Amino acid sequence: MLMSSPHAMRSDVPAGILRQAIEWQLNLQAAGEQPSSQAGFRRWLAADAQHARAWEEICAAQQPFSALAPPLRKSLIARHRPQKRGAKAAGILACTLLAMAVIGLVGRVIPLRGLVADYSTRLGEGATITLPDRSVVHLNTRTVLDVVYDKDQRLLLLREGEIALQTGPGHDPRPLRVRTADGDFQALGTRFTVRVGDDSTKVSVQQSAVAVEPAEHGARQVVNAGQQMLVRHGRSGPVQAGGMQDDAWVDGVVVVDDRPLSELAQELQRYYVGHLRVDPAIAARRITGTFRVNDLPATLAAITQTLPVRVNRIGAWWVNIVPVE
Amino acid sequence: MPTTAGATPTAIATLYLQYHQWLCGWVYRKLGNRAAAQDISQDVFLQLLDCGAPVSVQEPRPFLSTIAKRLIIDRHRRAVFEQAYLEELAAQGQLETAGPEERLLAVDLLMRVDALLDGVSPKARMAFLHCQVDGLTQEACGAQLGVSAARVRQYLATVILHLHSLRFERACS
Repeated sequence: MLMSSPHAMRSDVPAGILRQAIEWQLNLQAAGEQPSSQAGFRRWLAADAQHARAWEEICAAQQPFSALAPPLRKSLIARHRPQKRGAKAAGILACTLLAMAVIGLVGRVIPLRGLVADYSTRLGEGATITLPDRSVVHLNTRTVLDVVYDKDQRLLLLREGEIALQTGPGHDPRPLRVRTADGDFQALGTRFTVRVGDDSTKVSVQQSAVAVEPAEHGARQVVNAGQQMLVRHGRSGPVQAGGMQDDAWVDGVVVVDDRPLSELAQELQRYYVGHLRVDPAIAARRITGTFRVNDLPATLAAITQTLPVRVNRIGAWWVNIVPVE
Repeated sequence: MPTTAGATPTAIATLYLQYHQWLCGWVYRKLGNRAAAQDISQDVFLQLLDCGAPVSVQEPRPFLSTIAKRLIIDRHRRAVFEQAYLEELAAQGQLETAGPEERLLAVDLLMRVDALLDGVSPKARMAFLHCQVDGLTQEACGAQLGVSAARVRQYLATVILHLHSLRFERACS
């Protein structure tokens, strides 16, 4: 019996939940792409944080196999099957692995709330919508947005992700607001971005102004162009300078100015299905530049030209940025 | 050459002089290949120098042949993987695109991944490779292995738990 490797991570998921996750994996594989079982799976996944954790762990445990390139995968099987098999299962292989990939990462790739929302984007996707008043909304990666336009109001309910909003040219007496769990952000003829995090909402104003009304605590405040504010747990924070580049993703880039490499990696991770890891030894290295968000190979190449780092890629889903020895 | 305490290069040199020929002959009788026999017996002594373990001089023959046996198995595994990988590359018309270094890394990776299934029963291992790696359905896999689909699921669950235990340290539960 093999012992755990010295690099094993800790797991606190109860054995029962782990078994449930395995059952789901086997069920989904058996059921193929049947929507009914996928819906059941999503409910299970969303029901408890431990479920999602268990799912991530069993996917990670099998990652060495799922990350193998197809020729390697076949070689691995051939070793244990000296006699040649006539029938080839290449088609099924590709389908199942693809389905696994999509389902396996469902929580991160497809926002769970996106199934019922007006507009949603998957990981790495973007979208642009024009509203009835000719305001334009850009949706960033993994974003969920509901739009409520009636005779009294223009309301954008941002459930997850990030939007960049450019208000329409005409005058409209109905207030235009973006609402998140942390509060209301009312446009005052303007261009701005609103980004929802785990426990906070960040607003950055690129043009004119936005009035912020925190959901829990704090007075209504105006944030002007070139300023930003973080509203955490529905409580307003101080108005700070910056955020003029926060809508750069509309043009497919992220702009960083003397920021830690780890921060850039976190930003890129939002667009990348796999795991993007920065070695702690270089996490604090400062970096400045403009990087493409949807072309990871090009971006990694640019980073290696800027800093003394190199990139280890293991399969398609694991990128490790390490120091150059 | 550095002389590390405990590595006893002199003792290894003595062993080498006395037993290298014998070891070559022993490996040759196993493999029937003189060049491979030379390589492997050379590797046995290189390993001894590398690991610096104290050398048991009481029973040098079983000691040396045990190391040689392990190297033969490793070499065999490596050769099988190499062969399988080259065949697969050839089948996809990519034989020229993969350089020697890439091939070496690929075979290393295969051996490491394969070792994750050490200690798993042969049928469970086959079930996992068929279903999770090759993408067979649980039914088709059961038919191949001559067991029911339900049994295949049990195999798969066992292997996934095994892989989980390698990757994650669990509190007693």
